[in-house]
Amino acid sequence: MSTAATKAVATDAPPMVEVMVASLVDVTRDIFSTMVDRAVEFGEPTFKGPQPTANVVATVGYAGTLSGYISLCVSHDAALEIAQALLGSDADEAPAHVRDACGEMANMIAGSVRTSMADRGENVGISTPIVTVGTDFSTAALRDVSQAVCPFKMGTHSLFVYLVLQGRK
Amino acid sequence: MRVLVVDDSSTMRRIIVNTLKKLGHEDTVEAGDGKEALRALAAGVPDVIVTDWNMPEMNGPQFVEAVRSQPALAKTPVLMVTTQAAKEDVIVALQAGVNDYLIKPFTPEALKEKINSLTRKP
Repeated sequence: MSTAATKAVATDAPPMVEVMVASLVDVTRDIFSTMVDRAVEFGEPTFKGPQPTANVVATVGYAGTLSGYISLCVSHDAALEIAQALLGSDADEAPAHVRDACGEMANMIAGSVRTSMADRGENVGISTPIVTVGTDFSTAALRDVSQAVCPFKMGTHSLFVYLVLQGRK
Repeated sequence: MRVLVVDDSSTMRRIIVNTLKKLGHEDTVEAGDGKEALRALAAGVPDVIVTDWNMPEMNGPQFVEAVRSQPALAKTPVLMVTTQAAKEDVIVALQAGVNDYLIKPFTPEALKEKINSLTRKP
């Protein structure tokens, strides 16, 4: 392929962040339907930060040909509903259960997106989840990143998946 | 039948253990990573091992390689339950010694089918 043709393909290709958002929406719907028995309705993504305000933020990092992270951002009530749906009668309001359940959901979302990116030729590893819980905090991505906030509704709850991608447009 | 369930997520271990109990497999042992699982294996050989891939200390393929290096565990069926589902991942897992693969998210029916397949007598 000539250099000119290569450039044309690169120009026509959607930005990687948009490709990842398309995958992220599909896998998030599938994971909530399969593991939590909840339908989640996707809203309109916005391609800028900051991370949405939330009480529970579960983050999984990417490193490799793509680097960045995905965060699942939910309220305490939504996190508790997710934990109870995942664990059934074993769930209670113990913070450890709620944290772990949200971490596992983020792990499944990030891992499934990672698999779809691997199928596109990307070589990416994922971290284990980190979960931050609180009532008055925010996080900010470093400079020179692509970002996307993907809003979902789970019943009356609003939840967000926040994607940050470093070094790739 | 005894099943060793290895996953750093207590949520995922609980989901798997609950599904196994519904199948009548009450005898389960849990471990949070590969190293903890190897210590559990030193205390007794299970009939099946169910393991995650992405874990701290020792990941799934490293754990399975360590399992297969022990003659007493050479034929113990291993099911990997993971989001790591790219073709290259499956090859790595099979080369490490995994017998079967279940991709997250999964239904209880899918886990049941995999466990039954691994424990079916020839």
